[in-house]
Amino acid sequence: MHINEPGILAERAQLLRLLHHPASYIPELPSTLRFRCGSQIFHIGISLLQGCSNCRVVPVPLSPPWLRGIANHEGSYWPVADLTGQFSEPKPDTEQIVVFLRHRPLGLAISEILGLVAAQAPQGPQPSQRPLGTVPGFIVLETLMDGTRQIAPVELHRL
Amino acid sequence: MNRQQQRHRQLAAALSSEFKLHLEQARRILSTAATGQVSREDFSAVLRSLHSLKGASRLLGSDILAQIAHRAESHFIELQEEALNPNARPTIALQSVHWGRCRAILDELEDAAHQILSAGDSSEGSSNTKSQEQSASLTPPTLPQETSKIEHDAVARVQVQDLMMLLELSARVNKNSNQIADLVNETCLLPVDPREWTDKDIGSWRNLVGQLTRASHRLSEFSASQNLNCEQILTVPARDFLGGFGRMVRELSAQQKKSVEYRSEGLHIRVELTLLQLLLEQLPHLLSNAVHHGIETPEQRALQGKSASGLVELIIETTIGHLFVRVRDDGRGTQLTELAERAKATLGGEFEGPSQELPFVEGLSSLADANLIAGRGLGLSAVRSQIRQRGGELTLTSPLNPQGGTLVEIRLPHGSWSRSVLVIRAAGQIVALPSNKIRRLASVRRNQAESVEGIPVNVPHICDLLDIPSDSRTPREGQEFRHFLLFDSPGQEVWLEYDQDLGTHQMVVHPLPEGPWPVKMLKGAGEIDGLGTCLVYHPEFFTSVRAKLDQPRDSHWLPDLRRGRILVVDDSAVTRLLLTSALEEDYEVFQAVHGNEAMKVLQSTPIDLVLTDVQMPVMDGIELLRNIRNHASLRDLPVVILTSMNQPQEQQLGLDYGANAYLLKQEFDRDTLTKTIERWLTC
Repeated sequence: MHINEPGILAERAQLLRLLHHPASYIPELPSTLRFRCGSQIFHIGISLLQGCSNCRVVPVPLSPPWLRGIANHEGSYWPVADLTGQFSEPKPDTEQIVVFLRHRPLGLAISEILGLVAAQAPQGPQPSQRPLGTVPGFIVLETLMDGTRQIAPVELHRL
Repeated sequence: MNRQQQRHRQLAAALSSEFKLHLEQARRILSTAATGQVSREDFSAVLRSLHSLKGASRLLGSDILAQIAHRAESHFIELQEEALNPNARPTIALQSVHWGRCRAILDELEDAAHQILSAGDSSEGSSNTKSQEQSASLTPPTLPQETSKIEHDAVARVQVQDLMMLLELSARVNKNSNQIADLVNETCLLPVDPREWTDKDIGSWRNLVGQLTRASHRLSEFSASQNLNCEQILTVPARDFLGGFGRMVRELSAQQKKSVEYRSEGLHIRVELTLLQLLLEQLPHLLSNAVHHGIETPEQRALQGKSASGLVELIIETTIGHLFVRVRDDGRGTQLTELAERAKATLGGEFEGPSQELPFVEGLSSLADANLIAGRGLGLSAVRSQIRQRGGELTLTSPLNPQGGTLVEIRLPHGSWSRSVLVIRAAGQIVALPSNKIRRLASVRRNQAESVEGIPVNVPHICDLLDIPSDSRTPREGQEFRHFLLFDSPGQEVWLEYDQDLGTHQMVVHPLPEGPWPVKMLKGAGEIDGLGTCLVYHPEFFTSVRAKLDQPRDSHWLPDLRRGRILVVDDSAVTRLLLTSALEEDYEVFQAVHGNEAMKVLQSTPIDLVLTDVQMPVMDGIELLRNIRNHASLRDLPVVILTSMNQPQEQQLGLDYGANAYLLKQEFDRDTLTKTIERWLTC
């Protein structure tokens, strides 16, 4: 069964929703969501997420290249960022997996969910936290053993 | 009949008999719930029934029935939560909101099942048997007595996140109000007589006016968002309350030995709960009138050359500010002469008012014999009285044509949450615009080169203003006409071209969070059936951009329409974030990590001022400044350099290349930065 099949996605989305409620916290729960954006693989702490769903992302004219568009998530409209950096391509108005962040109205358009995994040890000494490409508001927390990067919205960590 | 058909028929028969049992049980629980004496076991039983019904419907292949059963389940679960919640205020009002929905959904369920099973039955010639079964269990259409008591005590179910959003908006409104009060106090410190003002006073005054304007704009936006959120909470689809009248009409017509087809339109429209409560009480009278007084018996209709089956329609529509509810029938129409005769006999003299008022006279009926549910002549006047109490109006038009027909129209003041929007297509983008801001739509043949009938054909395309690539709007083959719209903007005539008219729709416009798109461009977003998520644009955005296209560069953005937009260019994420946090309260802030990226942002987004570092990779600040000054449409853009390079010659270099100000990071303070920005934004 492919990891992006609706059943799997629904389970993962449900899992993420559970995290919204402290009462349902499961201690042994893996701590990061591993996902692919274009050819790049990222991790993000699941405590930073509100949910994940398949939704239509509508492009917004005159917005910066990193903004994929807006999406309706449970009745509210959220800006959705695109981490791929494929900014020269026209933004399609299509169904898209979107991970929605907690504490700030922003979603991340992703290509594929790769799984919920335990945090890995960082590879060697980490440089200071640095911005993630041209998408404002995100930093790379650390590069993991497998070379993938763990990111976070910056407001939660700085300033 | 093959095996599959036989199986389908067996299933339909089983469903039919199960339906009766399940619906009876659900209605019994509903009656008990209305009195507040209902147990968890009762609800469990009814939920099992509905679940079973849903499963059977799916098995039968009826998605419609399954969906309605599913909705019924949801409504009963809500009712259960309210009815059995020990912490909830045990009011009838709470129950009645869900009670009304449950009642309507059960009726809708029966209605849908009736249609589906009748269609199946009619092919087998058994519809008469079904009608007889239904007639045997007929009861007069009565409404719960509780609904009339709760009008002023209605309770809405509110999501916690909606409440939190409202609280957040309230906090922002308060903050802005306080800020405005502080600014007003500051203006009091200036000399009373403006002739005594120094240059510094004038600068302060301009600064205060700028801040006040922005604060009041924000206040206005937050208030509008707050209103929209409240409105969204207070509305539900009309179907939830008014979706079940088909059963009532069917039962009444069977009782009267009449054949009536019932149709409804516009039940998807979101309507305020209190209005739905009112309509739930009043519409049965009007529908009952249509069946009793309007529709004739099949024999009478045959004599008049009409089809044997009459038609009763419930139509719901909204326009800006009003909700229209129409009950129309194709019956014999109101016989005013007959009523006048009855009035003479009943009132003991001629009726003195206009004849159109005769149907509203209390005690006067078009039926010779009164019974329990019709003919007492009290209905229409009582309904109109209720409607008028809510600031609405009820009108009766009859006959509608030579063969009769009656239209009763209710007009009620309606909240502004449901908005009428014109939806157009511009290249790949769907653009929704408030209908009341469009004065005129026009189409001209594609080969028309000059203005025709006052329609200027050489006007910008909406795609030009939204920066949508022109190659994505190549005319389709056979697309013969070009389409134009004229905004209803006072003092100026703004025509724009678009590609396709997708019609006028009703939609709830949800406010959007602040995002990296032009301020004042988007009014919000919402869902339209068949089109999905649509962005609703401020018409003022187009008119202001259109004005910009017609004017020289120095008036590139109308300052009264927007907050300042600052582009912060620095390769240090920390500096960018520090500056952003210092400025974002008063301005919309964009970021770029070097000059090259800044140029991309400047070409895609209208920016009012650039705040840039000097030393950066790829393209440094001086190079960026040179590019801006050499760019045809950007050359007048204010650029402020903020750097740690403090040598006089370095500062001179920046100023020589056209920087408007040169600030040092070592001497950074927020006030100086804000004042510098304000100075150049207002120039």
